[in-house]
Amino acid sequence: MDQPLLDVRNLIVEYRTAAGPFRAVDDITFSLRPGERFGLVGESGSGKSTTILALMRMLRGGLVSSGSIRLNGRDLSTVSDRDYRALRFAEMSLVPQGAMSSLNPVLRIGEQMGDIFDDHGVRHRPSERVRVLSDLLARVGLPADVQRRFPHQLSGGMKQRVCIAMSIALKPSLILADEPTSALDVMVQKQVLGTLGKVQRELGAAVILIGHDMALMAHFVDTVGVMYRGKLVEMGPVRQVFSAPQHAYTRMLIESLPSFEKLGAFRGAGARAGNFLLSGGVE
Amino acid sequence: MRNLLAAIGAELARNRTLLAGVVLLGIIIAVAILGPLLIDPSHAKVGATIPRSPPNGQHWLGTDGQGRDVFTALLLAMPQTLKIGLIAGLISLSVGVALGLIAGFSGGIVDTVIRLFSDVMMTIPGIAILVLVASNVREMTVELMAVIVACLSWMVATRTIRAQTLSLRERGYVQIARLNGSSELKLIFVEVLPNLLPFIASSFVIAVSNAMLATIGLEALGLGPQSELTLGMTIYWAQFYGAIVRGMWWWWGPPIILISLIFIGLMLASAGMDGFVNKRLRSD
Amino acid sequence: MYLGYVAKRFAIMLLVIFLAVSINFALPRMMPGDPIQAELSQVMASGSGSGDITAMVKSYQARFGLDQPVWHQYLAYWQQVFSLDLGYSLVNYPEKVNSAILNGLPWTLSLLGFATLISFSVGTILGGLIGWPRTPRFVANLGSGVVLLSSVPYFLIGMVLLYVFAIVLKWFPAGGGMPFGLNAGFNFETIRGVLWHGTLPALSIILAEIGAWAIGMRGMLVSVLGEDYISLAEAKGNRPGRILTRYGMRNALLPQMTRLALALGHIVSGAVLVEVIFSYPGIGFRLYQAIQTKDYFVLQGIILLLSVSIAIAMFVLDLIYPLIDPRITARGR
Repeated sequence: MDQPLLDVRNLIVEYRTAAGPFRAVDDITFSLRPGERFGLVGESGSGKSTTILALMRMLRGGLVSSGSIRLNGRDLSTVSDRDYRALRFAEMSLVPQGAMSSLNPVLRIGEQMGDIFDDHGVRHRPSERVRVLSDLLARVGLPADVQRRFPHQLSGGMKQRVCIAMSIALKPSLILADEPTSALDVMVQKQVLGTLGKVQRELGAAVILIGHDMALMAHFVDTVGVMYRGKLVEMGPVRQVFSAPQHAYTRMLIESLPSFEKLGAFRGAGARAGNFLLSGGVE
Repeated sequence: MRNLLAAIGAELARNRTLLAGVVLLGIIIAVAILGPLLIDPSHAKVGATIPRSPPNGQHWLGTDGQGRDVFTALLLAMPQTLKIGLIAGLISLSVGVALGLIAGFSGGIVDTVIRLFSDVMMTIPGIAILVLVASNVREMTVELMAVIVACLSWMVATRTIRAQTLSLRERGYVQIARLNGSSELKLIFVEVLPNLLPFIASSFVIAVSNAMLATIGLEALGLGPQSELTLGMTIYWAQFYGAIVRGMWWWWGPPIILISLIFIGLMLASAGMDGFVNKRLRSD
Repeated sequence: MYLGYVAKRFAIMLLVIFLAVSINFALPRMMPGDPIQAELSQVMASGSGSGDITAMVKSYQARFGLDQPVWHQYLAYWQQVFSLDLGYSLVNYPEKVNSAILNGLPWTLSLLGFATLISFSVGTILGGLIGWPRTPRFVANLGSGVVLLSSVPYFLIGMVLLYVFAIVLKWFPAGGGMPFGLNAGFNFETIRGVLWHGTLPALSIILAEIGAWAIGMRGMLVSVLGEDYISLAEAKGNRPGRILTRYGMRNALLPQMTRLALALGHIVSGAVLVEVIFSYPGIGFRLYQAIQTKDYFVLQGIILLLSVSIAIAMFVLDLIYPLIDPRITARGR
């Protein structure tokens, strides 16, 4: 077995509050192989988004009080803030949760995508830049002229695709997707998730998908971890977790699914090998 | 009531900007109330002392060009200036709250008219109308001054209260009260008004501040109450008699410091309340 | 979309101008007695007016048509405004009100324009720095000091500057627009003289205004920094400088510009008094003189000019906003 791409050990994240420290993430351990799809499920406040923020070192007010994060064999706690900035999106990128509000309203899409290259020392001639951006947009199924538009001229699904296109701009080895579809309606959700799956597979990057929708998750990931009150209460291959949930909370999550979805999800998990979207039709 | 006081006390302990503003304003108001009791007002009459003498043991802040003792005159002027600010602030606040509530609650054409009117009034430069009115008044008094200034500073309060009313009336508990058959009037006074208190308080500070700014501006142009002592009129007379060019810093310096302190106190209070009001918004 | 927006703004401007003219017309008539007549006779009695006073009184009575119905007078007033004929100065007869205004206008416009431009730019940048968490502590503290200054009325700052720099230190002149006795022309002497005289008045406005802009920008930036697109920019590994300027300040700038339109009236009012303090030969000083000498028509003319030009300036600013912020026309505001 080759070396893990990402190795998180005994990670604890605390927030200082008036009533003493609050553990948002409580001693979690997991690792990802290159190209693996890992899902983190849990209710809001279970610490799954905090985990992502800790990986990006973007905790506002929170503190990693113990534990280690290794990415591509490098201990990230030794990386300075300055170098961490350079690492973001180059090695580890993020597809944000609120796609509707995640794009700068006063900059054209092309400028917002282009400054990723600018700030990571990648230079292009103007014509070359247009070509690179067009290519990125094409990969997520968007026409090239989107780069000349402003965010308010795009639909929610299109904005989320732009965010996905950004996340692969520097060919990172890990993509963190923080409930990328939660603000979209159901059909668009599946399409956008399909797009994410496609670009991820083309790139060979690993992905951590965060969500609370068990069914959607089952379609997408290889391994799933269930978070509950800051702890990783259960983790394993998605099929195994579905067929024999160990933790009471996991059972509750699965049982709360409508039976039709459960069936579909299980079949999806069983047939899993990338072509997970039985109904999406994007792939 | 005790709860309200406790809440205000806790907020003051946390919010140092607000505390600084309140303390500064408290000292100013205390001086304005107690000061006139401790001095002999006759020293502030024209010709009461030898004019143009610099500060000395007898006249702590010297005397002005017309023989007033500057220290005495200032202590008498302070309550007058604060009075204009408070009256104007109260009038414009009442108008603002009333119009804001009406606009926010009735909506429709009434709302449109009120909003348009306040927008237009905000566009017309206040000083223009003030100058016109003030220059057409025969005998200016402190009270009239307050009323004139109030006519032009109600817009901010109207806007704030209208916006808050609009958001409040859509809140769950107001909706429930409405479904329970409460009358609109009762809704306003029982459910909405108490929740507007922080906004009303902050609008009041802004209104007083705007009113005093306009007042002092008018007075400095010579349109203030000519026969009364206010801080702005002191500045006007100093300017009129060329006190700056003559180097009589004790004539215009102290009122400038006092006026600045009042405005700094108002600004600190307003900035502090801003933090408080916004925090309430966030926690809601 | 843009056309509808422009039409709405234009309608508001017309409404403001209409009200301003109407108030200008109505106020003197609403006052008890007839101030015009009273003041004319006062001027006559004191003998401070010059020229053919009797003829002037007659022409004014005819012009005011005091025997005619009010609406007739009102229409006549509009006609007068449209033909840009604002009558004569009572005190400096036969000077026309128009020329009194035109003489002062360039001074005021350049003083205000320059001071507003500087204070807006410096204040906006300062506010951006105060609101940015990575700014060094001492810069932020320095900024807060400047912000306190902004609560003090302009002309009081002007008085202090005048005393310190013109009376005590004698670095700058104590008043006027250019050196006394200088023949104005487009040459180095004139420009230097004008700048030298303009420094202190401009500085008073700038000092008082910087803080106001800084407060506005700081507040706006703090709320913008909480937006999702700032987090994504940070996640993208954008440089802090770019996040502050292109993502933070660029978005905070629009509300700041909107505030410029709203503050215009306030700035003009403040500048009027600064001109008085420095005897600066602009509109504001002329207004002050008109008040002192009860030169009613000059006063009315200047007030009308101020109201109308502010309304027009706000309209122009409103036209510019959509070019800065693509969202405005979309929202229709």
